[in-house]
Amino acid sequence: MTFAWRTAGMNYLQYSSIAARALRRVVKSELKTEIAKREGVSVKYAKWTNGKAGASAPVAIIETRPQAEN
Amino acid sequence: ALGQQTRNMATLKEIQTRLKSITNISKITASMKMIASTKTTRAQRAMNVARVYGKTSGDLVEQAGVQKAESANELLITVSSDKGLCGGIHSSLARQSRKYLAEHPEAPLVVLGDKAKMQLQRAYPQNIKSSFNQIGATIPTFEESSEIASTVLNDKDVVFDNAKLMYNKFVSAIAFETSAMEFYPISQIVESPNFKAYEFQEDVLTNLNEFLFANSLHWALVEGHAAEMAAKRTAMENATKNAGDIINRLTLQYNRGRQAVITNELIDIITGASAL
Repeated sequence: MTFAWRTAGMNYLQYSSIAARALRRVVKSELKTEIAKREGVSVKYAKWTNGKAGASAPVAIIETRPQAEN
Repeated sequence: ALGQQTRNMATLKEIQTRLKSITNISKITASMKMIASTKTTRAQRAMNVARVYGKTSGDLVEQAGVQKAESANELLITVSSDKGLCGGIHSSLARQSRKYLAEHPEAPLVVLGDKAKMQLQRAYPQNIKSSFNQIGATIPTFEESSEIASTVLNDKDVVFDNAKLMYNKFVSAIAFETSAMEFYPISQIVESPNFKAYEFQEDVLTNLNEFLFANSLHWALVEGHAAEMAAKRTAMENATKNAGDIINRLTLQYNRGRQAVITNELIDIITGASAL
């Protein structure tokens, strides 16, 4: 019984991130300000080969469709 | 005597300039201390929350009675940050990391934070597999820890079983302690005597492994952040106190210099007057 998202190439952390993001999007507007801080990753990542750093790039996040306007 | 007077005047000007600049510095360090104080309280609250999650994984490992496999690959993760002016936080981490790498020269290393990266790339550049930065400005969110953990897990070049997370433990508002957190992979937890009693689905275990890794990393990041804010507060407090001491010393010196100039002028005037 393999999870569908695992077959699609995601790991558990990416999957739960997307689920958390979806949940945050449906929070009522009064509480949105409080939880806005929990999103928005700005961590940069550089791969090293042979003692030298590669180019620095933002950490890969799986982009999801922005919330549809009602 | 006139030459000496001019020289004294010049020294007075110097002392005045120094006094002005040090007063400015002490104002800056005082405000930095205030900011660090408020950040410490907030960081501590976040730390207590993160500890609960981290402790749960710790309890699981303890209850299962996990043993580290003899031939396990261990990854060293140094959890530091990008910001300075926080006392011995980063150098302590770098020192402990170097000590570990001296004992395990083949161990792969992942560095979180520029400060530790700068120190470790001088000593062990070949061990570094990847580095992360833009860490430490705000309280780490689980989203961030999750992304870092996910990137490390997805990296094909970093093969590891266990991980050692080198971080700064928040002991109190004035003390921190560099410690190593152990991460045991699910493959070892499953082999433990208490776990073996139960049936599990393979897939769920992989999920758990990834989650436990993110959990440990998150705890290390949040506690490290709290320790850093507290150390910054202490460092800024000491800096302000030292600046205050220098200001007192210089003010005394300035006043003595000023009085000496006045006294010399008076002597000149009186000698001149008595010569008439």
